[in-house]
Amino acid sequence: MKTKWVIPLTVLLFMLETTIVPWLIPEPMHGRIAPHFVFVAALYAGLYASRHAALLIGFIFGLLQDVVFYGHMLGVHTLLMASIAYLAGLLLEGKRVPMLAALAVIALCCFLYDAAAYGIYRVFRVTHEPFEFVLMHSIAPSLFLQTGFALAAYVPARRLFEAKEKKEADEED
Amino acid sequence: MSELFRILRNRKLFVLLIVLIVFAAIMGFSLAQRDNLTWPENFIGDSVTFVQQWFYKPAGYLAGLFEDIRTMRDIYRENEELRLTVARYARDRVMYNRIELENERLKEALEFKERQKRMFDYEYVIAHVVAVSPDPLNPTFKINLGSTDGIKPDMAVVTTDGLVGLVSRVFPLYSTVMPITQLNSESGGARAISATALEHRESFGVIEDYDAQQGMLVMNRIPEDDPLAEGDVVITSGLGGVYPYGLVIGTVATRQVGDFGLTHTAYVKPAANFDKLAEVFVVVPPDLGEPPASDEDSAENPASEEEAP
Repeated sequence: MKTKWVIPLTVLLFMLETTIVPWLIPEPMHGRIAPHFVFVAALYAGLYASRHAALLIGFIFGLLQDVVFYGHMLGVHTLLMASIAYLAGLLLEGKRVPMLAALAVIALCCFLYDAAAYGIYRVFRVTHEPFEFVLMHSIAPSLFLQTGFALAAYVPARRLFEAKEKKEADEED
Repeated sequence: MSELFRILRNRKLFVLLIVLIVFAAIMGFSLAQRDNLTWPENFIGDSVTFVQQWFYKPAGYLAGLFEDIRTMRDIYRENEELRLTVARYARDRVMYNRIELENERLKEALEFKERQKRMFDYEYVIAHVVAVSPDPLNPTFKINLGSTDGIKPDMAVVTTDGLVGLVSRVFPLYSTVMPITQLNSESGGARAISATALEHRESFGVIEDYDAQQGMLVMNRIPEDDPLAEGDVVITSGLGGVYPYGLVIGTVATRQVGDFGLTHTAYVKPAANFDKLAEVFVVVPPDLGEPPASDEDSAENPASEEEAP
């Protein structure tokens, strides 16, 4: 019953992070805090539903972000969102992950995502800032926003994704 | 070698390898300048942005409302300043009319070709910002004008304060704009904007980099004896023919000897604010057709003479 809400809710998150959140970020932090709400949703799918759901959400919404905001190049977010969410699912799927551990995993994955994106842009010579600068300038402040969002979304996300799993388990029984 | 084949027999590893290669190819391919996008890109880009615009504008109005209440006090001061500006504008307008008439007459007298006369008739098309990228290393924003409105890649985008960015990719109904904070001389498709100063029209430099650590644009290749000084307003020079003439870029903060000691480098503070954009203008150059290259040179010369005071 609740599975059909996953895609519309993630679409809503995507709209939120690309349109409304930029208006809420205070001016001194402009260009420094970047919301990755959809990625957090994909990670929750990996932790509490299945790694395939995580892969699918990561791929679809990574592709959306890549194509819609096509500036330098395509494929960065598709690759990173799908692969990191899948990896999180592969390692932790089916294990009963408590809240603090889930938040730690999400923070780690967000850091990995930003750092890998920086790495790809650096390899293709799109950016030439040193990593220490980017880390302090944008990756670290964004991490706080992502963790805060993950904390706020923990209960609804777990209810949404675990309900799906429970239903499947019931069907299997 | 047999070792390698044994590793590749693992199906998952093989798939991963293929995926990585495919993505590296896509990234490399999509990095290049592309005038036309394929239909899946057009379809996804336009349909998603169509929905995004319903969110961005109302959010902007709400945010603007709160902003207005908070800045009520500043508005009185701003009003005073605007009155002064209007008074100055009215005075300049008389002067401008006279000079424009004289300019027309001189162009007639010098037998300017139709194409030369229309060279600086830029059209400022208003566009609404409809979405902002959530990636700090790819901070594009979307505007609601596309190829059906005659937008082409590399057109300049300005606000009332100054140059904000260049059109990056054009979809049929929307386009992405790359802020000038992403200028990078090292990247493959490097863009460079030739610039001059409002106070010293004979100065010349090339803006091709942005120093994110200082928040300043880097203006290179300034001749040693150039009169450019701190506090000068930097504008586009229009030389090179890609970017229009006379768009405000920023003010010179510092000037020093460049990397190789032969030319000088200036740090320019951008005039435009890149945050919370609502309306921008796309500068559409007049459609001059495509003249032969030799014709272009002869068109350039009288124009630059006319520019010189």
